[in-house]
Amino acid sequence: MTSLTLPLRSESARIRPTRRARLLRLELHHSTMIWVLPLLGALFYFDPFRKASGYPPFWFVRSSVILHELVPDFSLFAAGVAAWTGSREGRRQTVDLVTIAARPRWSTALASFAATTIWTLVPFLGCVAVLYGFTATQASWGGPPWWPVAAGAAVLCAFCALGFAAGVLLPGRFTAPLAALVTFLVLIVAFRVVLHESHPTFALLSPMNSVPNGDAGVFFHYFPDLFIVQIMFFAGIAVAVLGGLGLATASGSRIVWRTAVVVTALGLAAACTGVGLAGTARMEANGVVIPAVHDAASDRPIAYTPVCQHAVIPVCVQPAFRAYLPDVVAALNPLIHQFAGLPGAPVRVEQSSSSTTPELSVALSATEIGTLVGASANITGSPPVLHLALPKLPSQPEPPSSQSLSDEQGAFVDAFIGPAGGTLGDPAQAAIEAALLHDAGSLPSPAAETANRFAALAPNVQRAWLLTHLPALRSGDIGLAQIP
Amino acid sequence: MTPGHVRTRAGAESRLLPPLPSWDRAAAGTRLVRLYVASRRVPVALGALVACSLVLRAALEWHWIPSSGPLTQQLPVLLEAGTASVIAVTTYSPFGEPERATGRWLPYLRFGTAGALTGIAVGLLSAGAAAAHLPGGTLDVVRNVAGITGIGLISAAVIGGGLSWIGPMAYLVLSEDAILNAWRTPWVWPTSPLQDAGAALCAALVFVAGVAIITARGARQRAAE
Repeated sequence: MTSLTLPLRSESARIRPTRRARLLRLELHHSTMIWVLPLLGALFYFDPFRKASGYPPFWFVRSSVILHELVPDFSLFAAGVAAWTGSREGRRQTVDLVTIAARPRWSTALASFAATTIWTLVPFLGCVAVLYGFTATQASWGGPPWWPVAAGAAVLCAFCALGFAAGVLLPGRFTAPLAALVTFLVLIVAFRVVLHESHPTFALLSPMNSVPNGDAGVFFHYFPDLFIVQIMFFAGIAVAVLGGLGLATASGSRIVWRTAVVVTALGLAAACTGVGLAGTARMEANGVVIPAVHDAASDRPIAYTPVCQHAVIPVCVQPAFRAYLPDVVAALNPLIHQFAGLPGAPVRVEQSSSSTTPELSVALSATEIGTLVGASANITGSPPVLHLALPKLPSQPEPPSSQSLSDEQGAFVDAFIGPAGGTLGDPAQAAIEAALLHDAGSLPSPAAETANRFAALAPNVQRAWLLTHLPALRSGDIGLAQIP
Repeated sequence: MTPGHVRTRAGAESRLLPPLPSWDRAAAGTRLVRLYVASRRVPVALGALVACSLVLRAALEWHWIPSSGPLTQQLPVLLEAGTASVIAVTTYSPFGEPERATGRWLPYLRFGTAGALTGIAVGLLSAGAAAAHLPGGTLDVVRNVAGITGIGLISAAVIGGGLSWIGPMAYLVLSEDAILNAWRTPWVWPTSPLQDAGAALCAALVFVAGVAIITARGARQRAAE
């Protein structure tokens, strides 16, 4: 008789990780989400990508489509397909079969959830890569912001978890379409409804917030506070829902039940913290400030060396706007020529941030700051320097004759002729501005007639009149009748 | 072969059965419809349609829908797509091939169910918007629900009844984008005004195509379902 030596470690324990991986691999192979990928790709091209292509090539503005467009589009299908996957055992009436298996039902359910979530995040990250790759070919300054990507991934995980839990707990053929419907309803209605309630700052948790100004994240760091809180809230929801699923499907095992309780509690704590922090948010020109997570270092302006083009006077812009510099120079040059030598004429044009231009920004609500006009300018200092804000630009530099920067011309003339502080000018100032811009159509009749009359004068006559009367015109001492 | 004849073994003379009394045939027909409706979970679908109608009522009652601007169309279109998804999912059959092989009345039942549910969805949404201002009005609801239901029925024929909601939802995403960006094409009919005959024609075409395909072929049977 021979003796047989058996290893102390059991075979099943040794191969357990492989079996877990195999379970996930099987779920990945059979995930319904795979069949939805081409559709998601098509929707990405038609909606977020085309919209982003219409924005100027600045990283932060382009990245706004991730939360504003890409995530809502994907959430709908993520929740629906997750619900479909979660309801699989219920629809096939195999719940009893799975429940009595060696592995807890929670762990097999988590494998199904993980597969659906992975297949949701893979195309999401792929679309982000395409968007950022495309932007990288056009942007001349800065780098991709990653906070919106992390927040978007958290939102998708949350909706996957909610849809999956709905499928497990309410299995049926209608669960998937209703989960998709409710997801979209939450995204486009629920947060909007909260906006009109007593604590509108909670609406900031919505991934579909307003699109930032064109120069956001260029002169100042765009605060990551809101993204941090959104991640906390949505990741908390995902964890809490998955923990709750463990509680609902736990069958006998006390360890599984306790683990599910702890996971649920952690998720709820994170989600509630997110809601609480969102309630302390306040809107500022450079983004949302949430004191508990705010980094004071991000308040400082971003250092940069301006890019200048020397025309009649130097015109300088932030390096991100390098591609637009020839257009800006072409748009301003005729006016610079006309104003050169006049009292108070600028000796330099510098780009400034729209967030530091008070007349550009207006608080629309407790959660939104809007831009009133396409451009704004003011003249300060001695020698005078024109500070020009460019919050709205076309997606690409356009030919100088296309009038794409007419707002900037208007801002320049307004800063030079109009009263200080960006306030509205009197009829005489409006008439001269309209005459210089050849745009009298928007003026009331007497001012329009005066503007057309002045515009018809020879440039040297206009210049001679301005040389004499500009200080009086600026101070509001000239009436319409005194304009030639 | 007439309904009264039953085929026997090859070569044997067919046997004539006494015809069923008319009330028996009516009862059998009713039972067939009832079983078909139950197999397609139509009662649950009706509950979902009522829920959509109630959400629309709540939205109008509590002013979730903005009074002006492009966003006025967002929620109604969402609910119309939701009802269309539910109708499309009712095409899923749990029986598969045996039912196809033996169900002589199946095309009529499919046609009747799709048509009746579409009509009920329109009626419920219109009732939900009764005595309140729904942007576009009832005719808009008819056009949108019919058109998107057509997309759902075509999806059911192509990808199967269980996942047929994907078609209306994809169209919903396109429509919402078109609403926000003021696109105008007859094929995205929810963005078109009611007077746009092209949009109404497109919606009608898609609905007729969807009903015709689902009547003739039924939803695709997939092994995975």
